[in-house]
Amino acid sequence: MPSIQAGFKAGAAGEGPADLLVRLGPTIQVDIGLKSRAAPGEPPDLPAKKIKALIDTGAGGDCIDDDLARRLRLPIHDEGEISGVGGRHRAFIYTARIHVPGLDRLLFQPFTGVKLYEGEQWRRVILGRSFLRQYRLVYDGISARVEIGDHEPGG
Amino acid sequence: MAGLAADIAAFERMSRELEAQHLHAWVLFEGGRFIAAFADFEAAATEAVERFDEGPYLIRQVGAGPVQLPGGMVFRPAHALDTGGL
Repeated sequence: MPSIQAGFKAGAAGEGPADLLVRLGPTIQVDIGLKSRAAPGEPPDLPAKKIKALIDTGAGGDCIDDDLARRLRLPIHDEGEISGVGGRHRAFIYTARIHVPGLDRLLFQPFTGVKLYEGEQWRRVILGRSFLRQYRLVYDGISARVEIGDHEPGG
Repeated sequence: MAGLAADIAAFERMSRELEAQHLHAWVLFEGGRFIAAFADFEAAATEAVERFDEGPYLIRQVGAGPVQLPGGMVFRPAHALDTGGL
């Protein structure tokens, strides 16, 4: 059964893996785009590869950097408004396919456009509970291991 | 965005009918017309991209409320905006 690690194996600059997990949060790399260029039966080949994505259980929906979405020419399939501590502003919802190498699944997901790059975030994608709906997530803050898969932990 | 605006307007006109017949389904609108209802976003997006490529088109879940985003932010679809203040 496929699974991937979203934690950290090693530390950096005096920080241990558990410290990095606290500071950066569970992070995976995803491929994203609208259409796979792969031949039938081949692994998906989406135009943007190894995009860093934060796993955020505090978010219901998924987000993508607006600039990245425009660069990939993702269709806007709805619009609305984002509100929060920064006030209110208009927002678009993009249709995108996401592929997580290691999880063997190619999915369409709705992504709310947010300004991650402008906000100096080093991730370009945030995956919330909508993405996690299809997986198990096991978070071990002590060992800095975060497992995402579709099977029983340790199975 | 004119195409999307027309699709949103069409959704608004049909909202009562959609809520009666397709509550919680994902619906697809294109060219100001209702195309079909689907059980999940995957099916709706697959149909939309196959038939209409990059669009414009509207895909929306009937009866969906605001979406919780990171950092306490909330996304409200245009049809659910509260214009009456707090």
